[in-house]
Amino acid sequence: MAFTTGTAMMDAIVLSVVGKEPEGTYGYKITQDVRSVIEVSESTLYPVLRRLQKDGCLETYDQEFGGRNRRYYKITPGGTERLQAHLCDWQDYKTKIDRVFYGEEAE
Amino acid sequence: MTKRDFLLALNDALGSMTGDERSAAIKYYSDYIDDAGPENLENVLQELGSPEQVAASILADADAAQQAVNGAAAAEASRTMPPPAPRAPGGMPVWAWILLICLLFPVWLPILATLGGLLVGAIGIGIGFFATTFALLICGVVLVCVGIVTAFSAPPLGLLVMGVGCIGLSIGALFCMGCVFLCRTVIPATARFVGRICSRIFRRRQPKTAQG
Repeated sequence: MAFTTGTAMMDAIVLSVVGKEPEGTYGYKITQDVRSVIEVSESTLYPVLRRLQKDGCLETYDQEFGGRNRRYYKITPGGTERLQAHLCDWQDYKTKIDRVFYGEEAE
Repeated sequence: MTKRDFLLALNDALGSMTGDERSAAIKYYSDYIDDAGPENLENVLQELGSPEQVAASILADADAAQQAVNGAAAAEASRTMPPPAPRAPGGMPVWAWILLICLLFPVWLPILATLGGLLVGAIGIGIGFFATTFALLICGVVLVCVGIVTAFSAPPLGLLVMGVGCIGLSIGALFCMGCVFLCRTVIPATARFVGRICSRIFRRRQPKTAQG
């Protein structure tokens, strides 16, 4: 695909993917889910997760799985709020671009 | 490369991070490689790239995030402070630019006057060119007519005058071609050139469009 994914878009996608799991999800699964939709390198996700965690949008907890401790990511209320804001921006952006591409009847 | 080698190299490459940050990153990738399954180890390591590349992407994002935080903090701080003096491009305040221009007038005034003089001179030449064309054509026509009339009373003189008139007409025709060239090529090109200079001067004063 020709369109690059900016930082805000990545944040929104990751928050959305993690937000779909109320109990949280882990890094590998997050990466697979995101990569099923957009082409990003596997090393792209960690900086995004780290940043969202620092911003208080995600929290982590460790849980035992297969004899080791696996780190899970869960969305916070702050993260849900930010996701909503991103979704509003996306709707706005999508409408405007569709208007440019397809004209007024596309709304 | 084994998982252990990868993680050790990554740990080294992240040396500039704090201990907590670093161990969080190592844990993430350790989990990641485990979750991918041992059979996928080679694929995963290939996809991730070298430990140095992975470290670079983490550090780059950390740097960008820090700059964003600094930028946000600076924006907060400046909002509580009185607004600074309007800034011209180049970072100097407007009053400094005005002062500089005033002080430097012995330099730019003669330059501007010379350019103005050149421009007026060029216009003068153009006007002269057009005038010459008209003069030649009109003279040529008049002389030919006079020549024809004179030819009835004094044929050699009449023919001479007609001949001179024709020469005048032909030179006038050449000048006419020159006028056409001036009108179609030189004048529009000059206008476009001046226009480009003006738009470049004025575009620099516009603020850059926001990045989406």
